Amino acid sequence: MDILTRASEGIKTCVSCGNLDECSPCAYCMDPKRDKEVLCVVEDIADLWALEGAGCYKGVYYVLGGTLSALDGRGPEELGIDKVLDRLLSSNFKEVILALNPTLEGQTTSHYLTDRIRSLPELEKIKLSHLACGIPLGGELDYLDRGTLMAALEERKTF
Amino acid sequence: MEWTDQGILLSARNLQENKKIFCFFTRNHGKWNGVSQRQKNLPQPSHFYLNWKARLEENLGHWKTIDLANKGGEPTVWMLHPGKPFAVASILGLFNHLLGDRDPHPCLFDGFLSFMNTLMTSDDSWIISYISLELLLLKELGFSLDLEKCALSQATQNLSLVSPLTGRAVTKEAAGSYAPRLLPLPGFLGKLSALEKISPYQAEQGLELTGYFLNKIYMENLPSGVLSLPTLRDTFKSWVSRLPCLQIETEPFFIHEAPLAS
Repeated sequence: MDILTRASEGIKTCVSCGNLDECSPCAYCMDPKRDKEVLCVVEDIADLWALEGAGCYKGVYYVLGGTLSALDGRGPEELGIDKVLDRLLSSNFKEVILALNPTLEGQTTSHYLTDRIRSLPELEKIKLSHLACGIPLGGELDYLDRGTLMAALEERKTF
Repeated sequence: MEWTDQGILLSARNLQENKKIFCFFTRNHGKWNGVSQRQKNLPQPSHFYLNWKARLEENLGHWKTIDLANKGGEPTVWMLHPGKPFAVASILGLFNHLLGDRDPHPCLFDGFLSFMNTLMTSDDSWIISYISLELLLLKELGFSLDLEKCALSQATQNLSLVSPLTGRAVTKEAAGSYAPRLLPLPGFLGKLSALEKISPYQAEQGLELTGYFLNKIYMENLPSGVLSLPTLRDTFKSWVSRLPCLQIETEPFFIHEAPLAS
């Protein structure tokens, strides 16, 4: 019980990225070795941990804390989309990676964010990218669903 | 009490630590809730075969089976399109908010599946099918728009306006001085313009028209605090209005005009 109380008292939400940490701004935002010109937008903290676990991304993050959902009545205001835009406007990011899930809600949020970012003239030079959809490494074609195969074919790369 | 049906997932919410309450829009039983032991979310908007069981019909009951109708997976590649996810999220939101629990609408269910098929086309005819699906939704909610003939003169040609009170089409001549108070009827719904020449402005007018009546139903039926259509519907409308032109290569499927399901 003590541990839980200490955790609830000690864990803070990072004012800059929405991550949970013992300090705010969090360790990722304060780390001088991180590339402050690349922002990765993720749906929740579990996604941030997954990317950190992979150890392949060295930029900073923004945790949305959910996705837009017409079904749950979660619109851009509830999700705090303006905060993402504020952060982009107040920093010098050169690239934004939209690392949202390839689900209906994740993709809706990705396209909505893209629309909003592209509508601001101050941000028109920012490179916008999303994670590739396709065959998982070690996967086999005959086990894949049609949607993934079609996406993989569309996003194929030259050898 | 037990039945099998097919359905589309509308929403999921957690129940206790290891259960979920899934709400499906089923073909023959309407919007229906049930408990499931599944902890993972189901893909949306996939088509499922369902089996629901409860001791009494009025119980919440549970989903005994939830199987993907298409074992090969849904061709969800349209999710990468910049406009299609808004349309799908918007129509699912409308279903979720406007359809009554356990009120079957088989035509609407079939219409939705037809709309999902139009998403696989490479042109923009799916936008017209979306508007048509909203017209069908209005019809199923008891607010059928009569766009076939003029409410005043019975003329079937040159219909260009719709009464915001009755939802019936009128010609500009018959409307006379009332014309400014009426809603514009886009040419493709009044069969005025050739289908291949539909402009984004006309498509936006179509969305305005259905949106006006859907909003009316929203205002009447929803609890206070929820007074507008899903935000994503507005985002979809604004996306359509920003298109430079509509590429219509295949005949758009007018879902609201399709034969009624038995």
